[in-house]
Amino acid sequence: MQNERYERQLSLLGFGEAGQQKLQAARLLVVGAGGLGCPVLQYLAAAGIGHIGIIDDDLVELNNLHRQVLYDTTDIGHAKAEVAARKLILQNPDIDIAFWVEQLCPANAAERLQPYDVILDCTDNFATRYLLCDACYLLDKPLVFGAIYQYEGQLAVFNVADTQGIKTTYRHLFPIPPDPMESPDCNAAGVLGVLPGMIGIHQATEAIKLLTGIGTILSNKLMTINLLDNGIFTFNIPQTSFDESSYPRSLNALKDFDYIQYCASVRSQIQGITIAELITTPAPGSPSLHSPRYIADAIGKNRPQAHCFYLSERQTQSNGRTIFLRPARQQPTGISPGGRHDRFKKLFR
Amino acid sequence: MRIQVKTFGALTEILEREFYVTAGDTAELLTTLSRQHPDLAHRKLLVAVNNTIINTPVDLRENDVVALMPPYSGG
Repeated sequence: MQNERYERQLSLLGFGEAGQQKLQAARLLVVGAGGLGCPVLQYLAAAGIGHIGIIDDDLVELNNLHRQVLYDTTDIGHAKAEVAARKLILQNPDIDIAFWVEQLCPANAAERLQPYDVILDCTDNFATRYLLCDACYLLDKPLVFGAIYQYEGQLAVFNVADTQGIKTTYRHLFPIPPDPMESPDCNAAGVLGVLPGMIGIHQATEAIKLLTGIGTILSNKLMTINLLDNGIFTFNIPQTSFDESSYPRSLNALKDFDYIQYCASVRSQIQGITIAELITTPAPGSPSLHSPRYIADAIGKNRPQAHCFYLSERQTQSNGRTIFLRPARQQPTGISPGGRHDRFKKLFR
Repeated sequence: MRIQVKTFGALTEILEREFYVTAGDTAELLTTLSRQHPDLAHRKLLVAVNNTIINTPVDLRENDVVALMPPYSGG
């Protein structure tokens, strides 16, 4: 360990050599190397976390670069996990970095998470968030959670006991996944580039505090930040009971659980339908503005066979019927490329 | 009881970010808001009263602050 590299934090009261050694010995897994994952990785690598794992199956895209500042223009098209590992080892050759260019899924979750002390949820979709929540609960791993929406962020530390021995998870906030269209991701809703930077740095800070034992962590607390009005709120998360029957309560059950289906099927009236079918199948009830042809035009009929969407309908006060399109099972979040969701909202509101 | 409601995330597309409303308990509050805004009825929301998250209806007192927050998926 090069002491000179870390001397500015070694000299901190309450941190010192002991704190640095705890970081050096730590094993930390970052799930998702996107907006949240980049700052998390950059600061934790720089801080001297001894063993960092990165798991992400995504490739760098031009529209990532305004917020994922670990990557540059020459990285476009390359795997994020691999590019991140290559850059981080240059930033700090003292540390070990392992990476997987794959998606965290029920089949690999326990194997990937098991060797690590702390897991960071830097994902961008509910299927992986609920998978991580359940897997970390079952493995009793601390989970540092971050999530963002446009100008607002949420932060928490799950599965870590407070002074009363109480632990909570993401299920204590949201026991059941939402309809994906209720909370669109960055592709669909947009995001200010600095937001994941701020939330990711908070996550990295909580991880350092957790590993070194300094300060007070956000255990059983949910912190929210709003960049527009600088509003910061911290909510207490009580350990309440909820229905546990609908999701896996053992690692064996988790392995076979379909989180993508689980997160996409929260509404009973959902049905799978292709765009080609939308064009040829009459919509139930009055077609008018919401005819299949109109929908197909709205989302781009140039690629009618390319995507399979789940379609649901419900009554609204204003126009009688709202139709939501949701992404295909293979694409659990967002409708990419971005922009179509916005067009859609305008058309049907 | 006159209470203050604060909303977060995509909920601000349906409700004002901050407003005052009259309700005796959180169930009545959510029923009233859902009636006024049918889009709310199916939403998964976190409800907090005076900065503590609740999952069963809670009586409200004058000047209580109720936060309504959806989950965020972005990362």
